[in-house]
Amino acid sequence: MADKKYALMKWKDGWQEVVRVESDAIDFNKYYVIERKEYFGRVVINRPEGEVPGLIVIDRAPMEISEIVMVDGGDQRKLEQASTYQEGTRLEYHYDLQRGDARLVEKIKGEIGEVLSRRGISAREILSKPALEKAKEIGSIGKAVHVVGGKKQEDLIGFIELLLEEMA
Amino acid sequence: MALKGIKWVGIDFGQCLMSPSSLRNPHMFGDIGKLLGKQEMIPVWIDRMRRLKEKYKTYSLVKEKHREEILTFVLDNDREAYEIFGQKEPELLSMAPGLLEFLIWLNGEGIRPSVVSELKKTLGPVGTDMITKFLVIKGILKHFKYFITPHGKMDLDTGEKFERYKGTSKESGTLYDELLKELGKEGIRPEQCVMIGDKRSTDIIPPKKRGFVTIQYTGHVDEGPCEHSDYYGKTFFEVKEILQGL
Repeated sequence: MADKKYALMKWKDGWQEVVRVESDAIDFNKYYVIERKEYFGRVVINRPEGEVPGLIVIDRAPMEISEIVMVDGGDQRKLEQASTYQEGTRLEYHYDLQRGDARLVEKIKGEIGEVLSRRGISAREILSKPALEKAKEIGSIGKAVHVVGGKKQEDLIGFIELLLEEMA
Repeated sequence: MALKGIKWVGIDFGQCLMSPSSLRNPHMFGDIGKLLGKQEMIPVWIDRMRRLKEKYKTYSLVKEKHREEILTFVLDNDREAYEIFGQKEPELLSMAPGLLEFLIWLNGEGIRPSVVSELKKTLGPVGTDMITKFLVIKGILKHFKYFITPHGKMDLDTGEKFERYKGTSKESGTLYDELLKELGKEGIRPEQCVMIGDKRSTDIIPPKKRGFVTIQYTGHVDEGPCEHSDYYGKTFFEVKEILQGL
């Protein structure tokens, strides 16, 4: 048995790709294609003139997002589906970004305050903990206030840390 | 139009009153990874779950008969992740199209249907198994009278359990034999009973052989025409129309 085995695939247009497979692979079982309607949201973020816009791709129930807030940036929006745009097979649902006083961050801060009070610890005490211990504590606060890191756990840690600094 | 000749309605659970089309791996494992702060594991878990599906052919079979491998193979024995998987499952599953409207209408007609399902685990209190948990989360428990399984029958109002169905099965038809004995005591005849389900081998052929009216639900899985199916419905809006015409 060879140590390394690869699946080599050739397309009708001549394109060829290779993918390493398990070294105990025997032969091919089947090939099938799934066709399914998928929805992806795209949050586009303005940056200074000349800079490429920021982009967050949303793959969790994108049509159900109701609010977005630029934390430490002041922009708070409520989302309202407004129009559609079709280009070939691609259909886009466009949303109105309605400015509003969503107070989402204040609500989360209030919930963090309650958690800290229940646990008998202050924001300052958490911020002064060693990095690993602090990350663990902050992760647990995130869980208690129902906020998770969308792409990385560091995003959650950084966000809660920011709020704790404001509360300290 | 009021129901005339129908006195009892049974509905299968998986791929019938419950639609798994909204339960997607990226959503499920995405939520688990984010809740545990293990975002880097999300694509790994999704890949393993897809491979497990290839091993056992369908996700239903993985979940019904090889569930422990979701813990051992997919989640690397991460019990916390597995617990969240169990909690999320009924949340992410959805009701078949038209189900709520159908249940409200049927209850209004004086019939509270029963869920008739091949539950694999022992029957515990309401909300401890996948099926009654789903009914509770979706707010439709009150529309059902009994939960009938090969592990026993449960009164969904009181939680009282009845042992007589133990050891029966839908596929062999013994579950329907027991059901007809019970209904017979209430003066209900087989032709006054309707069974709705997607699987011919468990929901259609055995009850039809015993004289039930059968409706093959094709909204999620369509097993194709069957000589034992009296009617076919793609949604519960259609199922309602069929019952109105009986």
